[in-house]
Amino acid sequence: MATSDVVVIIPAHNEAATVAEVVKAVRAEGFPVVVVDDGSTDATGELAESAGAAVLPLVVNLGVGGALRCGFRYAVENGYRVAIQCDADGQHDPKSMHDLLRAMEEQHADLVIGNRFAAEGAMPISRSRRFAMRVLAGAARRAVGHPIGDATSGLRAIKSPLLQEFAREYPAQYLGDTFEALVASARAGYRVVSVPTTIRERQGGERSAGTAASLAFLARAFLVVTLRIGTRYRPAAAVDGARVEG
Amino acid sequence: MLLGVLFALVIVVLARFQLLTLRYTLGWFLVAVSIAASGALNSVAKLLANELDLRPIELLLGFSLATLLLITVQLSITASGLTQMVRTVTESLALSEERIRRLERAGSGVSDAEKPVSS
Repeated sequence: MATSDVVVIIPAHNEAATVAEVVKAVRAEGFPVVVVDDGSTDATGELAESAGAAVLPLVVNLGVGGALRCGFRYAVENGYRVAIQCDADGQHDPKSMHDLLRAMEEQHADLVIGNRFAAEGAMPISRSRRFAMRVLAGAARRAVGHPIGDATSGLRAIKSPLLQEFAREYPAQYLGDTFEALVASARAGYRVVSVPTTIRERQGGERSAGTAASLAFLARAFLVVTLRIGTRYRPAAAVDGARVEG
Repeated sequence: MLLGVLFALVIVVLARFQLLTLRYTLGWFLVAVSIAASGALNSVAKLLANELDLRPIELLLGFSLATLLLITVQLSITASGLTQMVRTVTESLALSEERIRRLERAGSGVSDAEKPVSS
């Protein structure tokens, strides 16, 4: 897959400490970068632009899901076939992006998830978080039909026509962008796979949410799985049909 | 009845100062009329309460609660729609701003290398 078909989307909220280095590292791998500056009050946007990224400045903070949908819209409007999302805090190794693209081609996947817990140097997590991850992994396995391992990973590659669906509708609530989008994609018949990926220490910034937000997410995830509410995507054939007609 | 009339007046004042749109003015005006009419329809309320084996105050409280619940749900629906609209408009603004910057750069002779693939 040509890297000119691929764009890397980095949602960033007050990540001035790390965003420039992350942009440079991703560009060094040969990918164009778009940073969605999610209402930052620091110099995130300016630093990202200086490092060579296109910057989408959101005037208000929409949250990770909102920022990502803006990035997906950018990707679709500018003719990219594949988008890779990655965090701005330097936890994701840009070299892993090639593994995601390789898996996408070899396994004919629409959505490839970087599994932070399968590779060497896997991310250490607390006991409570591990429990929550297991619950989510179980729910994701039921939706996808095979183990995913890391349903809330922020390192993912998305291919058209699923990319078009993400640009049309994407969950905005905390962590909905990862788990809910995964479940909705699998339910619409898109192929979802995961590959082991290395994770590094956060290079700067703060966690995006506290315990209350995490609990609210678990409750929402329960509703998404059991009651089948939330985001819905059209199957690939329907998206292609709509594109031809449009 | 007096309470209903006072409430209707408040609604009219809010609408005149354009603090309420016509849509909400109509809804709240109906509520005000209902409050005013409930005094006049006291005997009807008593009759209905007897039929349902309730006290009139219980019937009125139940009716009020149901009305408020419906209004709250309707406002939640409106708020959800507005949230979606704000999100879409904010995204569109960001995309337009990026496009303007790119065109400005192209116009000032900066290399095309930074431009994205055109659709």
